[in-house]
Amino acid sequence: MPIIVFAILTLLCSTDGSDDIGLELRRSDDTPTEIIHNFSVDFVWKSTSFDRMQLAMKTFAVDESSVSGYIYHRLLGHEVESQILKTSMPKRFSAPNLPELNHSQVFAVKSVLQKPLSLIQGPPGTGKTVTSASLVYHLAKVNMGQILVCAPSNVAVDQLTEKINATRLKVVRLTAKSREALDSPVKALTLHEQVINNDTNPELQKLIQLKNEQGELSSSDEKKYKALKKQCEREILSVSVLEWRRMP
Amino acid sequence: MEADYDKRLKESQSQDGISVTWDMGLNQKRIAWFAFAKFEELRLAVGDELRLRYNGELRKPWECTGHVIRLPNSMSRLFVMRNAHNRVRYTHPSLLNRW
Repeated sequence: MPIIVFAILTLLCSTDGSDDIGLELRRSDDTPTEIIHNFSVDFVWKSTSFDRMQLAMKTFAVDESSVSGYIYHRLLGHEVESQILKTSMPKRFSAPNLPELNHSQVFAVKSVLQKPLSLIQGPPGTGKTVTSASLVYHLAKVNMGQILVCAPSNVAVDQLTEKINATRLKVVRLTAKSREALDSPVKALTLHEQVINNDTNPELQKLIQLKNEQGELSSSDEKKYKALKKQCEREILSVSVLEWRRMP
Repeated sequence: MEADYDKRLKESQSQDGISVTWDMGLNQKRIAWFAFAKFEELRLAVGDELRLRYNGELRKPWECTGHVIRLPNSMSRLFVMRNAHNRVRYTHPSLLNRW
């Protein structure tokens, strides 16, 4: 008997639940729970990307030390003596597990490695992504530091992530928080997924499991979870050669 | 200017006449469940911010922002089912047949 009752309950609720959007409210007090009809829903516009663009422009305008003198004048179109970086050139310009570069791609990689600021342009399908990934590979090999790669669309970032990962560099894909739940071809490389698959902190794993099972955590557990997650993210980022991000 | 355009586009997507089912999360946060017309076209994602508003006659105007925790037909279906019996339901004559 109980089994049958459960089945009916499930059926009833699934038709309701699967079609609805769940919205967690910021405030829990003063909610008009006695009313259920005639509400309005607005999209809250996020200015994050635009704020960041403006902040970057402003910083560039007022703070001359925000970029190197060369880049500062170069971006403003001033006449500057061209700078040549003394980089030791790789013997092979093609990166491991990536397609062999053609003559003009090799030329692009070569000149980018020698200059502080470069622009590569090419029509669709000419292999800019492969060139860029090969470039990141060489920069990581000659450069000790981390490399930050940005692209204007999430699709472009995913493709680059895939190619760079093929060269066996350690790559972390950063996404906006709102995109974490979306499926992506480079899911395993995203920071949030790397946190989930990280096995160095049993307590964090336990909380993640609990959160998955219940869908949410109590507020004290949630606090602990956030702190541990942040710590784990930092650890992952500090050991990866490459950081990867796009504006939300 | 680009920002203005983007902002206007978002704001034009508001919807009225929404019916809500109230719920309380394990974290003691209030959750509103509701259906959205033309959901597929809206590119709504988990984590997006929405504002819920009431301007009707039954009480003074009320509004609150929140973020999306579940989307229709996402893998959350099981979760929703499992938690359905915990839901706070405020029955309304027109909705009685749904329960």
